[in-house]
Amino acid sequence: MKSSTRLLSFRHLLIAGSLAAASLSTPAFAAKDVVLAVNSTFTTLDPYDANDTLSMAVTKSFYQGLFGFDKDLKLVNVLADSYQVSKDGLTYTIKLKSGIKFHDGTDFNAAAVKANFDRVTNPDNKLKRYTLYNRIAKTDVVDAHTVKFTLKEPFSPFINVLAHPSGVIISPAALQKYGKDIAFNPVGTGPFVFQEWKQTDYLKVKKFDGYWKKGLPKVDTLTWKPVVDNNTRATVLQTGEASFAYTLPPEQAEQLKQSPKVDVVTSPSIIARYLSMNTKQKPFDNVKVRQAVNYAINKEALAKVAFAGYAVPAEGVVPAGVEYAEKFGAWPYDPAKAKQLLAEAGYPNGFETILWSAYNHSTAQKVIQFAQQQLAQVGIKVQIQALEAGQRVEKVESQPNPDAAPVRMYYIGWSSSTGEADWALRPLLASEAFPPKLLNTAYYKNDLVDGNIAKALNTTDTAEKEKLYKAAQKQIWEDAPWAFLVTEKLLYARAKNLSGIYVMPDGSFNYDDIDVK
Amino acid sequence: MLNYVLKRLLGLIPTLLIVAVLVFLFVHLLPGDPARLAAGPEADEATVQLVRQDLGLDKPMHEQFVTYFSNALRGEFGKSLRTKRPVSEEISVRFLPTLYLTLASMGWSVLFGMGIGIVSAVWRNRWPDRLGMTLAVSGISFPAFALGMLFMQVFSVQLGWLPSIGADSWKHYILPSLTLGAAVAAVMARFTRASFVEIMQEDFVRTARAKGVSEPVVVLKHCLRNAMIPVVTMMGLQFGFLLGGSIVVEVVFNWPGMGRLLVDAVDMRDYPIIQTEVLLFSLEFILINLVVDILYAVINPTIHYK
Amino acid sequence: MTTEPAVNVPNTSSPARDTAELPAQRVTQVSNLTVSFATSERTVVAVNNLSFHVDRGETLAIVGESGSGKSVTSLSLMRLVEHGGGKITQGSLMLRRNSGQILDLAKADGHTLRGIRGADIAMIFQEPMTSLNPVFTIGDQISESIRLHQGKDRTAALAEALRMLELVRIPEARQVLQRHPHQLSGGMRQRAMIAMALACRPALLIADEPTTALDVTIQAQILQLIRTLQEEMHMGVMFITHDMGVVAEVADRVLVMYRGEKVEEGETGAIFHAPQHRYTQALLSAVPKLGTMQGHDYPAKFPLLQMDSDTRGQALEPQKTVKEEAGPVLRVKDLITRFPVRSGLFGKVTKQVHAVEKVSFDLYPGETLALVGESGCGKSTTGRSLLRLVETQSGTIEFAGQRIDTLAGPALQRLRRDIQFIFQDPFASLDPRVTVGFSIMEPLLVHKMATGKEAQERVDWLLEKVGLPPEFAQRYPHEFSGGQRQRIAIARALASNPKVVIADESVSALDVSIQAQIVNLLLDLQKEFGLAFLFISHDMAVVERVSHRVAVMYLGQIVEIGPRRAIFENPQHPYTKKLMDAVPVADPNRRNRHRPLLSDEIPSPVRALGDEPLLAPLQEVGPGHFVARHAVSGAF
Repeated sequence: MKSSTRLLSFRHLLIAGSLAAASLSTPAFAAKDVVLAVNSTFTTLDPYDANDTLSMAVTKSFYQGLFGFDKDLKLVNVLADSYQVSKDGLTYTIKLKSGIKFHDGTDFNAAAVKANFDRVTNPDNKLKRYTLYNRIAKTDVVDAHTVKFTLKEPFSPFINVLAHPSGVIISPAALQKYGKDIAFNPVGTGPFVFQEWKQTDYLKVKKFDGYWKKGLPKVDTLTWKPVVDNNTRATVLQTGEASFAYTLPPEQAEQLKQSPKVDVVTSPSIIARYLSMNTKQKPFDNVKVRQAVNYAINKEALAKVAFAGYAVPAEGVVPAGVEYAEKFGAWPYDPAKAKQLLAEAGYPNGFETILWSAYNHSTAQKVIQFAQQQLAQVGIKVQIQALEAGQRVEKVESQPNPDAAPVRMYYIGWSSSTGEADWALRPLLASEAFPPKLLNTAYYKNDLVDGNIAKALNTTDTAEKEKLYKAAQKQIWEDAPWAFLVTEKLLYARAKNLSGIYVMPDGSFNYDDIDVK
Repeated sequence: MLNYVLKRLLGLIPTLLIVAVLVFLFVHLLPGDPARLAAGPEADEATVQLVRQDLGLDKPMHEQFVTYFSNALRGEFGKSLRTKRPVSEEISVRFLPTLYLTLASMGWSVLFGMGIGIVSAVWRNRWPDRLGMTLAVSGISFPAFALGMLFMQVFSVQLGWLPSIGADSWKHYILPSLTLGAAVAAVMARFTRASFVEIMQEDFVRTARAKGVSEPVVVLKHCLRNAMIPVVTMMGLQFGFLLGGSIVVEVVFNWPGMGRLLVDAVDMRDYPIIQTEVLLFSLEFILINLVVDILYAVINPTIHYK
Repeated sequence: MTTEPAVNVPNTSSPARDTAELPAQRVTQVSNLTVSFATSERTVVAVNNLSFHVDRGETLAIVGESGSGKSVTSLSLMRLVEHGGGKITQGSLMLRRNSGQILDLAKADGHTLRGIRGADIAMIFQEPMTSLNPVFTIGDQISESIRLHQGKDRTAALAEALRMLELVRIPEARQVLQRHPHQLSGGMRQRAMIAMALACRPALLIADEPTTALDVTIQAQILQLIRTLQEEMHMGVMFITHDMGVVAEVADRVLVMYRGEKVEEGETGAIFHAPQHRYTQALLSAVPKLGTMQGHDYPAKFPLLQMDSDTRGQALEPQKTVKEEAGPVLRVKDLITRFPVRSGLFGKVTKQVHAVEKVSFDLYPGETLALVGESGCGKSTTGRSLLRLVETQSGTIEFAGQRIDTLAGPALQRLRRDIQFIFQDPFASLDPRVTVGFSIMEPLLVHKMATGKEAQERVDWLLEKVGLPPEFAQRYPHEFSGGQRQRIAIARALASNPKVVIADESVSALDVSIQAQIVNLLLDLQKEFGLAFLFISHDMAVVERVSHRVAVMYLGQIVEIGPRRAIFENPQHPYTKKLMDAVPVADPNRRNRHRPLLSDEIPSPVRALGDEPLLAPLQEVGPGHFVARHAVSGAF
């Protein structure tokens, strides 16, 4: 017994010694490597040129913005220390944190901020996030740690825009060096340094030793792995090939809950699911018809049938969690009332129409089939079709003439990536947002709503803004240009030994404190 | 023979040109504006215009065609609309994993398909035949993705013997190639059986027996090479099936290959990637069939290519 | 095993106990053999209680028509019948091996049998095309049995194979060793088969229809070769055939089988001259014998003897059907059909197959003109050229005074109504998925000659004319025998009331008795409807029976044409003479046992581009009898 213990400890010593010798630069304890499985391939590593939440969420490994959101979508300062807004709402003066360095060793300062916003606001650079920032008239360096933004017009959610995951600060030296190829050679201030991007296979980042938040990050490497197939993504979690998986289909959740190694997590989201109705066309030009549709669909049942319970009935136009969201309570399910409203509108025997879905995945198919059955019970005969991405762009998003748009009922979803009401209302319900400009697929136009949205942009007074948005949302709720269906719940899974990573309500990730036991 | 190969290679050029033209037209006829798709749902019209200019999609179609064609002739296939990386780079990193995967699958199919086919033919209408053909029918009717999931569940999750995703070691090849090869193995088994049954009734088999040749030698020497002749032809055709099937299997096993790239590219209307990949698939298919034809001549002395 | 070319003389030194069981000269003794095939529905007895023996140096011919069990008998001796699903249910198959050992093959185990096959008993099959493995060289295939039974290494076995090839008189044997079967002609392949079979000097050679698929001149060579080798090696030979001409040529004794049973056995001369059994008599009566028409000008029906009727020896009834006064119905002049052979990088035509070279002939109403010659002589291509089934290069074809070689579209359709084809294999030319009635009716509908009830009536009438009951119209082709199918094919050809019928080897695949019936039917139809036949055949005996005039083709050219009687009784061209000479005569008294052993081949009609063949003009040597005067008349 005794000799064997001694032998064992001797061997331990040997191993420890050789390990220490082999890795002088890294700590002697085992490296903490985390593999995270996500549902799609990243398109780019330049957040200013990205249009998908996932790509931007992943770039948070090495990039940070002036502001950001915490895991509950609360606005927080990141590289900024504080800010001041001028009375006219046109200039924003921002104090920066000091002593922060980029991965390439250069200093983070006001000049770096200016370089980044000058880049995105120059249309010659043809960046996809150009419109988000094109209200900035100019960016000035006040001193090394103070920067001043001047806007073309008042724009109250400007700080939210700066907190948008695309608004990151890239090392100006790297921008200089790589030009357009910055997308393949990201250099930021974030907790991890870019290591390798094998397009379909993985993106690997390693711990940044000079990270300005002391003690972070707690792991040595992160590997982001796009695993496109739903079942496969659940499988790699079970085999231990990954310790985090998002998104997770509801069907897989039940099975994964049985696994002793995995936690299945649900959290609220700001993803709204709705059916828009083309208010320019009969019979949807009649508000009674639109209300009837809302009464005709049982949202509780829909959440159970199509979303396996991982959704709640919509309680307002804008989901809770988004700034200035108003709660009206779920629209009641009342088919008798629906029939009555249809009769009043002159459609006692219902009518025939079409319903398109913006997606062709199985959940969307279930939603439109369910809606079809429900509407049939009040006499509305619906032809359903799930559109493939290209068809969607062609049939809905590119239609040049609002009066001749073929869209009738349209199932789609939205999450406000800036976390406040403007980006939840303006692109979808303002009359300036008819396709092909943006996505007002209901072709809804209401002067009060248009006016309030515009006014809210101009005021910096929070109470005033709240009042304006409340009135606009009330109007919309009553006009019912949409059938307000559900707000999704987020569903993801992580290994039991993994902590500190969250999926935020907008579907982005927060992993500042990521750690493995 | 050399003449023949040269001739076939020359014949490749017009084929590829026709494929290139057809693919260009077909891709541009797909519904959906790639600029808008690339810009994403949150983009407004101004952004879409910026993206359109950036991708060179604002030019008239005939101009785009001329650019595409003249570039293609010089071996340049442009940049991916989605990732903005050169198409050649995008494809080159994915080419070998897919090629190895299809070759490995072909290996399995030949091994299992011909094995089962021969056993079934020799023990025709007895239990090995019934078992083999039941397997073959299941192999054909079982969809690849379902088989892949099943393999993964059993060998990766339950038993933990094999990795489920990636393409880093030989172990990673086992499950995807088996999945991909199953249907082809099944087709091969049925084909080999049919071919073998026919060959075994040939007069020269009787001649071999009349010489006093033992039964295993009759089967493996006299029948096999003859039975191989149609089977080899089929192998060439099945390669097309494997190339197509790799798309499904690559998604299931998260294989870093061309199939997944093509799925993504079609989703995003990534014209340059689609065009180049279809060209490459055609080229691969033609070349493989050339190899098969040469193999055919090696096995079958009655064929003489001139 | 000895490698010496030692002759196995009747074994005098064999142990006494063996001689007690088997007479010394006896190679095999089959007693009470019964073989049955079990299918899921029933058990068919293919051979029933058969007994016979073969002695050394002796040739036993087993004759019978298809399904008589003769091939099953031979496969039983090899114990290969089990591979075809058969089972020996009774009887013994005694064999004296080369080693002198005597054993019963019916009781031998697999290992022993493999040692016997190819060494003590060897077999040659009917189809030299398919009986050799196409993917191995001739040398490999011959040496395989040498290595197997004599334990020689590859080099030694190949050397022995070469010796065997020389023994079977294959020219350039060393090269042939390296070749694959498809590179050899049918005759050469059959020689190679014989070399393979005899490689280990078997005591018994079974030859199963070894010459049926060969041209007559080649057949004569092969028969001669087997006989010569038999004398050299002193083998017993079991010769299975349906051809009484061949039997008369080769056999010492004859065994006649009918429906799995032996009906008669005896010395060849006795069988031919005084057949005892009714079936043997019927069989012999149906055999077309060359020379039976001597002295007659016109065709005549076969005097058929039925198994079940007593009518015997009808007089030859001459068929005087030709209407010369009407002028020719078909007139072919200088017809040339060539097929290009492409090669090279750009598929340039470098050679041509000269299938038909300046062929001219007339065909009168009611006349039968036979086109004869060996495979590749262009006789079938000539027939196809007439119907424009292949493109011709030049020449004119007139039908009823009208040029038809330039027709196209509907006019060509009308022509195809007037000229009909009957092919060799009726099974392949009848659609298996429709009733034969519909097959017959189809030309009527296509040419809009009749519809509905009228068409139906015509089908019934046609079936009656070809000797089948009208209710057969509702059946499908697989329900019929070969002879019935050929009758149906004839009915279909007659449906559109043609003036000319091209019969391309139409009776070649049929058993003799059936063949005779079909020939008689054709003659009846010609008499009734005044049809003109272009009768394409390689079988000189049938041709003698049916034709008014004969054209002999060789390398695409007509070398001799004239009245049948003139051609057969006074052949002028050396090739015609050779052709006549090669036909086996079904009369053992006329057998020609000491012909020179030849091994020459039919030359190839493929010529380089620009290398035009030399055409000799036809000269008249008798009334209507023309012969090509080739400079080197002995070249054939």
